Amino acid sequence: MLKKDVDNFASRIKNLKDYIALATVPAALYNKTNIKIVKYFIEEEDIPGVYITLNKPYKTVQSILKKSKIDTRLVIFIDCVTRLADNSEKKSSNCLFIGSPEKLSDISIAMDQAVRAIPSKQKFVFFDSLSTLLLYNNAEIVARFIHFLASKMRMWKVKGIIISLEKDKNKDLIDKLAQVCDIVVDIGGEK
Amino acid sequence: MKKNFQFFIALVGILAGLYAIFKLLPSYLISDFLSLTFGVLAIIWTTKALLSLSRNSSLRSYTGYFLTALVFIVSSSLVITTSKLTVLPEWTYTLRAVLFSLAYLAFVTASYKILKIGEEFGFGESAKAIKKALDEKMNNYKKK
Repeated sequence: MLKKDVDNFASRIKNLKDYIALATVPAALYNKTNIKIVKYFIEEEDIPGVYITLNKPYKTVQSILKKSKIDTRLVIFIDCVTRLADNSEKKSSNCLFIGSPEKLSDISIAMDQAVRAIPSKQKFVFFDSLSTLLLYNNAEIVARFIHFLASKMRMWKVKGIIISLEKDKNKDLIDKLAQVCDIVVDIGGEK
Repeated sequence: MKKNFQFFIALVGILAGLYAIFKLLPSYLISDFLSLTFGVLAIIWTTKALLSLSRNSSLRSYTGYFLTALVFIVSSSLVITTSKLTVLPEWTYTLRAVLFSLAYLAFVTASYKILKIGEEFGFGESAKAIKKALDEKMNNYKKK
């Protein structure tokens, strides 16, 4: 099911130059989906990008991606998790550690700087995930942030992917955000 | 449309204010009142920015230092202007100097903060690494 969905997703985005896609994923398929999408960009399309992680620490994400033989040198990470536990981490060679997922201003600045630093015409932005953002901020703020993010992504001319878990719980928000996204994909769903 | 109207009203307000300053004030006070007007405007804009930034964010903290510097510098301008309008006690000279020094101290702190933000949010090294990795990939394709 996952492979078919991701292939289907890949075929939908293949001919698009830049876009914003909202992917809803069930928890069971979350890890595999993330890996597949990032692998698609880096290994199949050879596009560098920015990975914003609000779920797992950078080191964990990096090791998962490396295990899947993905060249992580092509990715700039923005980690909003690690400093919740260890405040001493500030920056490593390809990762910036933001204090917490509540610091939306810092996340925006970091994303803007990271996207503009990438020396390639085509870039991707992978935002993982909307559902975690909702744990730290109220729904209205998250909706406004994603709306702002979507307009930024259009300005940056990137391939933007926003991941969201548990479609039913975030249904209202996803319905709102679907209006600003070009593609809404329900991975592992019935659609 | 609404934004254009707001901009028009603001522009008329500024022009009317400037006209009043030039028309009503003696020439030796014009520069003082202009400084105060722009200083207050800068404080209003910076306060609005501070309130809209996320709590504890780096940018908010920088904005805080910048606002402090602005407040000190406008306060010191206020003392200077008042001293031209009326006779002030001698200790206000010291106050003026203290406010001026504090303003520069706050500016230095704000500058240090922006230096740290630049170091933290700059991705120059990562960009070089990505370029190198992309070049390697291109060379591998060419070899194949």
